[in-house]
Amino acid sequence: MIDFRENEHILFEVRKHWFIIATELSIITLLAFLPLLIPSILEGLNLSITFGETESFWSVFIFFYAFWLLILWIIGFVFWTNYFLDVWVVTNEKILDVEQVGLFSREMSMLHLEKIQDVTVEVRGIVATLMRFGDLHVQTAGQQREFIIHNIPHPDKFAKKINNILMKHKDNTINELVKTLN
Amino acid sequence: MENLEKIINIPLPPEILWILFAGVVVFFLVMAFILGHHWKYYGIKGNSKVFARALFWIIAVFLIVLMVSAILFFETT
Repeated sequence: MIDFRENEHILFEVRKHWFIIATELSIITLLAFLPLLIPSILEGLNLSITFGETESFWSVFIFFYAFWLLILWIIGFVFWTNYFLDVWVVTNEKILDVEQVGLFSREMSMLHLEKIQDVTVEVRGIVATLMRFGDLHVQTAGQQREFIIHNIPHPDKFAKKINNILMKHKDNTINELVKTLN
Repeated sequence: MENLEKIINIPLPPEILWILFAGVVVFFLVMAFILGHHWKYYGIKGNSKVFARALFWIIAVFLIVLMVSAILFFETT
């Protein structure tokens, strides 16, 4: 649960690019189809498998295939949950970095807007360039660590948005921005 | 040359399938509880949560029913 102060308003939220979750889910989909090759491989090798007294290969195959699919189904939802809960929330007062690492590790860091010194964008690699995603770095004053959000869509646009919010925050006109969003 | 089929016999009593089934169902229930908790308390709201929960349960129950049917069919043959 994320708690906000009374006069605090969410300006926007950022999640990772859909390509990241699509890649993870594609691997799971590929793994889901993999056991379907087993009957063809057995046929190619001229092998026949029986189980004890019975010759019902297919009922055992279907059992293990459904077993495999159920495990992949659960893993797929774990990936999706991690993707969905890994978020940056930008409010009129601060940036909140919620990092979900696996199911049992959750880290929340806060960065007040007045402490932000610089926002930079990093797009690395051919896929990131083509799909338009990259990392956003937020440098802070003092000893606080650098904030990084990885693989967000259109990082340049988000950098502009954050810079815009920072300017309004410095000019004390951020409440006007909040009003326009509400 | 004669093409001979090689037969491999794996002794597999249905009890083993039931034990595996029980194991995966327990795993599923634990994970469903954990995922449900995360969706509820960490901010997955509205339609996304309803859709995710429905999809998760419908497909999982279908796979569980399929496993039970496969074991019952295996036992009767």
